[in-house]
Amino acid sequence: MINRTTLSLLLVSLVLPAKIANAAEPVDFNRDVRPILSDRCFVCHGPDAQRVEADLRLDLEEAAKEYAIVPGDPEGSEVFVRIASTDHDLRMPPVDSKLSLTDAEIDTIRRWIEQGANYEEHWAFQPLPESVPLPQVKENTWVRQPLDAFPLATLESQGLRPSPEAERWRWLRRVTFDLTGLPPTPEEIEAFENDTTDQAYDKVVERLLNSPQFGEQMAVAWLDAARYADSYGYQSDKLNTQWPYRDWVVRAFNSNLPYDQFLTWQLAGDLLENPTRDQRLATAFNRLHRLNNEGGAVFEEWRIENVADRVHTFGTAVLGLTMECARCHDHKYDPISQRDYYSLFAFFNSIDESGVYDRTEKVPCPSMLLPTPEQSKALEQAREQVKNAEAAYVQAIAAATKRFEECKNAASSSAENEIPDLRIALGFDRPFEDSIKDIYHPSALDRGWTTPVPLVPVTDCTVPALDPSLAADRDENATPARLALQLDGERGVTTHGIEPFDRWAPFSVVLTLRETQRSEHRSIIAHHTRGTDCGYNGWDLAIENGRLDVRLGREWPGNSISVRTIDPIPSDAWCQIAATYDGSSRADGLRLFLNGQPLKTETLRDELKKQANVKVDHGGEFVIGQRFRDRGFAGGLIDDARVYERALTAAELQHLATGAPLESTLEYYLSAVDEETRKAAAKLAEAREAFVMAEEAMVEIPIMRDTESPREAHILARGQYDAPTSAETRVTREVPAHVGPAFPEDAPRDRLGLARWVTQPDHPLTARVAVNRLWANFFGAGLVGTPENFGLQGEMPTHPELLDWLARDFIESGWDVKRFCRNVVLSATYRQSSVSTEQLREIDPINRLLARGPAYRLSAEQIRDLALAASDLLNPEQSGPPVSPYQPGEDLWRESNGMSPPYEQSVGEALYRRSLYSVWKRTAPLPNMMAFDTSTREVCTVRRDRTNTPLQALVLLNDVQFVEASRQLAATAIDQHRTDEARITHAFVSLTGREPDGTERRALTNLLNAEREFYRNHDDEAQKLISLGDSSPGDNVKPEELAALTTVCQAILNLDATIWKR
Amino acid sequence: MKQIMSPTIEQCVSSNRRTFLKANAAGLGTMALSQLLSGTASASTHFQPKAKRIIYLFQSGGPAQQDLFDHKPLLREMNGQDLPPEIRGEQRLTGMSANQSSLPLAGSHFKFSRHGQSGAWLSELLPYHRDIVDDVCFIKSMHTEAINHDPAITMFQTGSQIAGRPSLGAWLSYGLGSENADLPAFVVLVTAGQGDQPLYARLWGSGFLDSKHQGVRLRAGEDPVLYLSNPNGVSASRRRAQLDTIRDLNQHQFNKEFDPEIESRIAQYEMAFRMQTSVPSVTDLSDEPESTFKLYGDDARQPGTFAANCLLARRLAERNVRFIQLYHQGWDQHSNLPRGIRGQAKETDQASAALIKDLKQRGLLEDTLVIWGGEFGRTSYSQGVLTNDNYGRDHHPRCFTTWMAGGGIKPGITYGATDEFGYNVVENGVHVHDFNATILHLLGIDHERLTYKYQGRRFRLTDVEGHILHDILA
Repeated sequence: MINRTTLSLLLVSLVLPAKIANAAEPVDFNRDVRPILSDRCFVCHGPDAQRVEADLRLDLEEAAKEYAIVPGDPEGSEVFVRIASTDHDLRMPPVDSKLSLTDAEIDTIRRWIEQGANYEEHWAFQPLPESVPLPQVKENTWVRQPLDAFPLATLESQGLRPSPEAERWRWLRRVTFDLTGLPPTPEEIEAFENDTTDQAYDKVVERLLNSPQFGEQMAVAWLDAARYADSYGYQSDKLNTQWPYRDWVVRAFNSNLPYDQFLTWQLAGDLLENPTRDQRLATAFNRLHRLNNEGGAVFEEWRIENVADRVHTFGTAVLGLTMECARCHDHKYDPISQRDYYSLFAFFNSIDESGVYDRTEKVPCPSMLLPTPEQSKALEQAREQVKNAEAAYVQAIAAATKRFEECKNAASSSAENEIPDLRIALGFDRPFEDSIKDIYHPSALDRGWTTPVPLVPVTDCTVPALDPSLAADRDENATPARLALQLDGERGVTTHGIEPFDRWAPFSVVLTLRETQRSEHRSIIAHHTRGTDCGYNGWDLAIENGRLDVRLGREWPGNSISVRTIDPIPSDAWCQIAATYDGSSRADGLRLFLNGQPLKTETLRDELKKQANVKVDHGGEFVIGQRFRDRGFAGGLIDDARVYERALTAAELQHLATGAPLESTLEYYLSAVDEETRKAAAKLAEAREAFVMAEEAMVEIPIMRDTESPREAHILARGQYDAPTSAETRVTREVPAHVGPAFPEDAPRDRLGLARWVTQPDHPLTARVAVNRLWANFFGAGLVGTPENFGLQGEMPTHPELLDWLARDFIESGWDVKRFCRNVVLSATYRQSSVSTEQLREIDPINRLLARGPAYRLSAEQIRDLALAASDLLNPEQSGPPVSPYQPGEDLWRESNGMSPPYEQSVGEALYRRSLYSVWKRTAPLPNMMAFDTSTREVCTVRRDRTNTPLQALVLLNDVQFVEASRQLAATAIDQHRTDEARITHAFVSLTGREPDGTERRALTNLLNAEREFYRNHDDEAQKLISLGDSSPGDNVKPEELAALTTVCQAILNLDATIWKR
Repeated sequence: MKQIMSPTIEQCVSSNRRTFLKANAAGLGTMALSQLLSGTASASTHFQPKAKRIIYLFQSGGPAQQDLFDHKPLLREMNGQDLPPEIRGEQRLTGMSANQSSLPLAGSHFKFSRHGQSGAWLSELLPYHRDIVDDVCFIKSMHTEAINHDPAITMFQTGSQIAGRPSLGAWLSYGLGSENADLPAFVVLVTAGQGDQPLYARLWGSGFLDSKHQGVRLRAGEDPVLYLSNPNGVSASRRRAQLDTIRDLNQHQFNKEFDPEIESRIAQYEMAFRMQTSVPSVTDLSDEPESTFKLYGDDARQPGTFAANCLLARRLAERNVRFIQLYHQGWDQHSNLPRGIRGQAKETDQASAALIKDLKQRGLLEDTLVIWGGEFGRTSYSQGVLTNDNYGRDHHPRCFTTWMAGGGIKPGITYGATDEFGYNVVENGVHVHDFNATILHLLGIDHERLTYKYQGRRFRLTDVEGHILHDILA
């Protein structure tokens, strides 16, 4: 950059000869001085209290004026002496900072000190004025909207004039793109040209504001800010299920949800009173950050990343502030301390999440289901069925109880084989050999084969041995010894063909075991799960510090039921433990027994949605002693293992544990003996399964829901998740002390309170940031050129009063977005021609003065949608899961990422949806969109580049999407018009919004003739060209005619007149 | 409240100087049209560069230093014994081996011997490397913070674990521009069909720099650059006629609108047209003599292999492409390391060495910096069960080996050292930022002065760190 910068600086000085210091001109602190101090001095003499050099802070007036700045006396001010010094050792900024001040900047500081060294609050932190007077202007007749007075006043003060009004077609194309993202149709163009009434412009605007495409267009910028995407990002980058949020954003804009509520719903919709489905859905805003599922990820590390991303997105999208710096240390430039950062962090820190995700099927919790009306109905029906089955079961019990009373003493059982519903029993009493391999195999990493663990004799065990005749792994020919698996934590056994345990069906696992090493880490005794260390789903039994716990669920922690014993089991002693489940989907349906006695437990989690054991890769068998990438039962001895397809009763478990005769209790009778009750129980399980499957069909999306008591939040040194914490580092929910108003006294200390704080009518940032971003929608750039940063290092607004007026007006109007848009597009400022004069280009190359209308390249989405709309290929369907348009090359998703799902191109109409609905894969975004500067949506972005590159030419010339659209446009033109001229005009109007002039007409006609000539002699080439794309070219037209006009249409598509808004 | 004054034109423009400069830089007509294909080698540097270009052979997944370069006989002697806790210290483990009940040391199964005048250690896995040890500087003491692939590789390529920063190649394109009018300044080549740890566009992305600085990926197959070929049924002559019409009409539009962006667009279309010829001329290997394939190995005939990409890298270097980034995946041997690493070494050894020899014989090694290495190392203990013929190794950010050669690097030396367990750096640790600072230095750039202001902060490839490794400079 070195050369270019120098050259550009030269240009600036050529352009701005008047900028050489004028001693009489008053220095404005915010405009002239602060940018210098902030940019060159604050790194060492700014708000970062830990890094202050020489104990000097220049951001605080009082501190600065202790000795460093003496108002009125530059030569007596250390600051000036040091920056003006020629001595390398004294000069500031120091040489090794690689920063320096220009002579003009030094002079500015000198004059500022001379003039009294006044400090002012940073402009963006000053409260929004209650009213902003309109400036006096001379050319009153030019003003169409109050806002016009501001740019006009600026221009008049400079002796400049606004540009003439743009031709009608230009305004129509501009406003149609800006409000709908689509071009005006030839019919709309004609209608507008013919409408000479006073209301013509207003009518167009009303039509556009009320069209459903308005929300689609407005959503794009917010989705960039909200970092909405259809995949999780990071490593394997699997697809997520966030698209209902995207549709909500479209709906919110279309229904003109006031912006303060738009923010409130997203920040805290779940905390509103009786929140609606949309209000809860909107909180997905806080869950759109990337998520990792890399093997070995440390959960807390990534959970902290998630919360940090919420804070950064809130900071950038809502406040226009960069919070990132303050994660590791006090902000270098803005008055945001590290404590402020983590106090804000505390608002977003309290949901029951793991920090990572495992697979697409397992939606991170907390989440909500979004059933369609049909699905809701089906679920209600399934719920009814469950109720009926429950009632029938209760009835069956009542009847059976009577029967039981009658024949109470008739029978008493005593043998284990009278415990029905045994699925498998394993004795492990002989070494593993081939004949056993259909039953189980010695395993590591869940299902992998490995060498068997040693078998050791069982001694000192009072628990009766398994009846050898029941053991699936028995040896018919030998007298069995009593042996046990000696587990090492890595290896165990994996059984084959035991059906997955899930939430609707009761089951029991009974193990005779001995824990020889007590571990403080949760160690897996047995499980029937799938997934990886980023989240196992299904059922598992584990031990930690001697306490047993059991989990059943799809996603830990928020979508699970779990209980843990209060007391540890005996250490290094043989015992029998049993885990039973009754199929109720409730935590109290999970029970743990020690030697037949129920253990007292506490509930850890108690919420289930959908299937627990949903099929994903890894796992899927009943395993003892180990799990893929998990801590196994190191030092555990396992004698016998049994699995039952029923929740065993206490009587049965006592019998198994002690060998005492099986007591025929009522409970046992109902569960194990009475056929009617057992049938009713089976029916109930069926009904419950149907209910779960009705849920399974529903879309699920992560949202916000706070835990009952806030999770502790701490200042984390260097932003590290494992930084030491103490009472000193503890923070509570608080807003930054020096930014914005105080936290409203009567507001709750939660995200809802935060939303109230941020939408207060005197908040200095929220409305300014919002109107600035909206403004950029129409003018290409905001009034503040750094929409991502309203802090001290951000740019000053070009029109500060206009920004404030717009912000105040926006609030007064009830944060009415549509009204704002209407006022802008009907303004004289917006209606100016964008043709720029040489003089204007020189003094204001990028139109910061608003002395002309906006002109810039259309966005990636608009260009693709324009091609689809002009060619009538566009499928206007709204909402729904993302679609996959054409993608070049092989499968770009998987070419460097074998963990990614494959790219499956959509078929039929779905190929032609608006680009808003195209799948957004964070690590492999659509290349034709990226060429036109879409963001990857990995993090919050509020400004896109608008580059101009050869890749863009290659896309528009060679991408099948654009070739097909050109052909379709040609086909329509041929179909509707008879002459070449009319056909070319049709295509030209459809793409550029105007008729071609004589030169254009001639050039295109010449091209058409040359192409026609070529394709007439190359029929096969013509056929190839018109066959591109999935849609059919039809067979009414001669291939050479269609091919020739296709080339012409594509030429028009590539013109500046098409892809630029002017 | 104090009224904010309306700015004058001058103030308005100067207070937005950065934007102004940016806009000007983009609008200066052909000179600064686009770094992507800027035809003017006008870039200047902070000081005299030693290297003009880089070929970076990124070995993704984390190659095991103990089995390739860093000879640790003690691991064989103590094979199976637990890693002493005092060696591990407070080192964190990934969730994959954190749950292991023991951490048994695993000696390499591969024989080591010394080679060249420098006497550098190499394992038997790298026979072709023996010929280049005297051209190479081995850094045995690399270290990083990240322990998972995504953040670790993002750190290496962008100087930050956090997504959204420009990659090394993008910084170079931004800082130095291109020296070739018809090819991108930053080209990416990935070995095809390797699988294993994913790679992402982010690694060669432009972050907050203009997207024109992002790497352009050359692929094996018909379309080396996406969208490069004309659609079926469009011949080169037809395309030319169409482009001529587009040019004329854009010129016509410029005469009405006076927007310099239109002129810029006209030039972009011409460059696109030139690329359609220049890119295939690089990827078409038919002009290479038989001796080339002997040197790089027969794999080089197969497009998309590491060998073919090394050869392509040399061809791109000949055409003065600034930054040529290769990726070879597959080094993530958590289990079955002996078998896995053998295959990896076979795929990369000959071609890596061939590239050095080839550049040298063409006089290109002098001003081409070649880098070979991954995002972290691997543990000296076995992940999973250690048996007589098998072991695995987990991620290890604390020490690992990379090598550099050519463009200003002192040849035939080894820099830095690890302890006898191959677990900790004991001498001359080299952090990723030091490494990147040194790379920029070799290209003539002061890493503290190549900055870009974004969100109010001056960002650098090396964040606020980075020391140049003067000891390894020639």
